[in-house]
Amino acid sequence: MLFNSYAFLFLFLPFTLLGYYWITKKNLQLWFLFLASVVFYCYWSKVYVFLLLFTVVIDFYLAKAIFLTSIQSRRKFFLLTSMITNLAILGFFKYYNFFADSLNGALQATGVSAQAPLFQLILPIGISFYTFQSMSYVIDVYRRTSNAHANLLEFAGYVTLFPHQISGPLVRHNFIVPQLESAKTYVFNADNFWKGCYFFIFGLTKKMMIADRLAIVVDPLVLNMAGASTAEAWIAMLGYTMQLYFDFSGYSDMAVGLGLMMNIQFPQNFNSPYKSKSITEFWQRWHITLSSWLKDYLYISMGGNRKGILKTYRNLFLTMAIGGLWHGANWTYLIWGAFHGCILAAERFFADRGWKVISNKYLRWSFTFLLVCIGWVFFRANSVTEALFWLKKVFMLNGEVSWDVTLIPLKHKDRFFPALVIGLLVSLFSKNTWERSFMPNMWRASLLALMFVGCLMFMGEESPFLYFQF
Amino acid sequence: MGRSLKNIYYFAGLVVSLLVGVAAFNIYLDPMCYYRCETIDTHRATQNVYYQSAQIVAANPDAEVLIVGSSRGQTIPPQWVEDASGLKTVNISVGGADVLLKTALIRIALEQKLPLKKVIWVTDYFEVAGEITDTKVRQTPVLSRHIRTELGDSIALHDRLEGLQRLIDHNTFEASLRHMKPAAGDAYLFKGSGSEFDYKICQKPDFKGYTSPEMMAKEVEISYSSFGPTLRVDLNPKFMKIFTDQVQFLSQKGIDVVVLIPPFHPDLIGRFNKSFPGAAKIHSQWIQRVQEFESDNVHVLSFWEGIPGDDSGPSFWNDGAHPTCRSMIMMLEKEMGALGSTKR
Repeated sequence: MLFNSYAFLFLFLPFTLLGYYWITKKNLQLWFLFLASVVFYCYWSKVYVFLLLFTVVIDFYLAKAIFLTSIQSRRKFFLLTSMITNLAILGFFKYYNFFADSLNGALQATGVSAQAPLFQLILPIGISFYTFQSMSYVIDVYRRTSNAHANLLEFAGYVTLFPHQISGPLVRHNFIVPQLESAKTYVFNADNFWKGCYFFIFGLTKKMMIADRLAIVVDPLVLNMAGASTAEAWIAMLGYTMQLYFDFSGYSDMAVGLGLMMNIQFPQNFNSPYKSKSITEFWQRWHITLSSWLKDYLYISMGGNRKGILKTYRNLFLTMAIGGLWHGANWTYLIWGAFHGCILAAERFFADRGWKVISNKYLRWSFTFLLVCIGWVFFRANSVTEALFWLKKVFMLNGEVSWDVTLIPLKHKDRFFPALVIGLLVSLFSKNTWERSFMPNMWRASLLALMFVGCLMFMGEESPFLYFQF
Repeated sequence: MGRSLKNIYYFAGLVVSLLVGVAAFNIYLDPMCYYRCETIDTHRATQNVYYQSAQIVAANPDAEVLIVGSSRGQTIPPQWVEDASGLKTVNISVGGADVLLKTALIRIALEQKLPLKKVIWVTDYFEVAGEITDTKVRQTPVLSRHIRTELGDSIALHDRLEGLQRLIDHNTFEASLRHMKPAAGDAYLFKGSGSEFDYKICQKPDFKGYTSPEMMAKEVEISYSSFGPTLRVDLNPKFMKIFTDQVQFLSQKGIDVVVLIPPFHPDLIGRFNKSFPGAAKIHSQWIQRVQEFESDNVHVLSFWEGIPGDDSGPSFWNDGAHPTCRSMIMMLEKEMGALGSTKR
């Protein structure tokens, strides 16, 4: 069920909110919320919901077992059991075919006839998010940075919570579970509800009025890159850069808004990332919950910056490359991650020596923005060859330079270009949703109502969020 | 009452008021003929091209030849068919027409008691593929009541919900806004699609077409991305049966049926067949099944493999999917008993 669908807005959400506040007993409210989240997941798949519940139950009890024993070998055993189980599930569904396919290619190249079998696997939606969330809890208990939670329902409520179930934000258990434990969470709070409406509607508008308007043009342009002009290759690159930001940050805002409607606060996931003046800063502003997860559970686990300069660069590179692969089983994601990893390592190298290669802040911003855009080409393209072909067109390396814009149908031009310009202006010059206080008054309520009705009018063209595939 | 709560109530009230306002505005103007058009009014201005097709039928009560097709049939000049056959002709081909819309339009023609002698059915693979018919057809009462049996009761509730959605849909709203401007007139009622072509120009040996050779590659690219996906969808046995039944029904009524299978641009279909050999096989099966319609008064003209003499250029193609008026005449001229054959 999409947040931007009639079924969600007029059936699931009102019913869930009414039930949540109509029931007055905390425990029953939590049960209701958990069951609503399960129903939400069942809308995608009635089979894979068991995989989600299995992950919840196994990690809850393994964390409990780690917490209750002081024998280090047993603690390690329980941790490994959790890691292997989670990563095996994730690896099988998400990466098996990718590795088998790559292996088959390598075997074929070396003349070996044996082939690894390929399966028709459907990726359980949200698996990358809930696996990471559940795993981080077990790791925290193992590291003794957190106690084990006493109540399975609260833990299950946290992992399955419908606003972040499919595409994050990648929230930590110690951020959400205490909120689920607090009685205050279950009492209607008009201030939070107002703020929730604000976040939700701004997120919905980002998605429907900007991201979707851009997608209508970007998707066919990418598909027809062979026939695209230089201008169209640039438009596709810039368009996708904006589409992805407004799609994913829109989704994150909607998730935050839904949480607030139920008095549950989620962390900030985007902080105007395209205003960054370095890639290091970009990763402090883009998909913040993922980058902090990768830092805490991958970068630090590999030694972080504690094992010498060279290992710090290596760890930065590997963290980003693995982070890239987390997005999907494709070489394009790996290259995108490695590309960012290389730049992060290079920036660290310069910073360690106190070198300031570009001192002008506008030049620094331009260079960073260009690098981010180049990265997105790999992120969006279906193959490395396609990405390189696209980039050759962008940088006029294919021997052809043309500035005509004929691949964009006339009927889409009048919406695409305003959406692109608004997207650029908002992402580069405007305050983001978290930087505004948006105190309640009639003008703001009117603005929200207009934005909401405007979005409803575009609701007929359902389009899934880009990050659902990860 | 707190400030937040007061504004939440105000917000909710305003949302409801705006929705009611938009819905009332759309119902009042009804630019798409979804809500207040129970009959075919030939003088009614509408933004609904499918309703316009029904209007063309009603505005031509003496038509003897009916050309039904999708956008690919829109380049057949009805005047050429009329001059070639000596029979009054209208072309009600319309972009996106599927088998149910074509069926509905033919039934309207029969209901209006048109003295039909011949139906030229320009068939497309995608009209018998997929699962559902166009929302616009289902939501237009003038059309949907003719295909109620085919649509089935099971989707009645779905249709109602969809109707509610259409009330506030941006397409309906934009159509209402456009509808407020004075109508351009009833020009479309003349002989329908293809009326704008002077067929004598289409038949000239130096006919250049409407696009340039340089643009053709791009046009094919664009067509590939819009038509490619529809060509990959599985054949729908239900739609195939409706198509078969409709052709048989016309035949039994003594009406000649010409089923024309136009090709796609050689570059488009070549690329498609290479990329999707499985789908290409299904297309062959579909053509074979259509060819089985052949009988005394049903003639199947398949040009799927190409138009003889096709140079892939603008004189034959408007883009990757739409043959020019010249191509269409060439495909039909033998059947029509040519009025001066097209110079090749």
